Amino acid sequence: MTALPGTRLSAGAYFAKYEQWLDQIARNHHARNPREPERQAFRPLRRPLAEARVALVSTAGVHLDDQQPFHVETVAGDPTFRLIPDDIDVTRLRFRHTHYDTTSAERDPNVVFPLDRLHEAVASGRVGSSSPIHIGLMGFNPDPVPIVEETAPAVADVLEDAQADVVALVPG
Amino acid sequence: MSTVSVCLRPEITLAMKAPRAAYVRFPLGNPLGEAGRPDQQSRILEDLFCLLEAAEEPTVIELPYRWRRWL
Repeated sequence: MTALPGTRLSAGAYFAKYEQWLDQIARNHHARNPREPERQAFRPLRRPLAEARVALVSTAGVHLDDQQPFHVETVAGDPTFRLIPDDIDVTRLRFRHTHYDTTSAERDPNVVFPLDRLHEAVASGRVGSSSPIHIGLMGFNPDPVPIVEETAPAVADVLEDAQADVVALVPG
Repeated sequence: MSTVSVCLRPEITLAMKAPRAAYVRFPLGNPLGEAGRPDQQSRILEDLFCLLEAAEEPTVIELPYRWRRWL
């Protein structure tokens, strides 16, 4: 059995910090209350990882050089997403986000969108294959309703159609 | 689909009930480590794969790495 690669965390230890964050976004971003889910969507692996198809989803504001950048000037955020084909050169990736320093991502896109590292994992047999399509999102969205009700279901449909077994999410 | 994520803000990840997440004490913008360090990136990606295989219930963990160079 594979061992956990780190120390387990509990929600109780971080509750006060979460309350502080809620206060901060309410004051600074006119945010609505987050949509805390009622249940956890834990899905066991449906096949061994060495046979599984892996898709990347990034909230680092990642898009291709010929795609519309995310709108970062608006206080409402941008709930749209971009389709990132698996066979692109990562030098074509661009990063539009105002809530993290994009310097490292611009120097080395794999820091926030590890496409080359995923391909290496496929080549070594660690994972079965990479999805033909990956997803770019911009993670600063003070209003969670469009994300929950529109973006997430649409992204799930895209990745189900691509027959992804595993989704690896990477923030900015 | 099974999901796993890198986490930079554990208080939010835990409140949102992420099914599997690995918290790393790196600055925003560097979830998989430093630019030009494919070894770090591969290491953290491998940790995500291990978490996928090891977790039998919703699990958020902290990885043992520390940031050596601040931007």
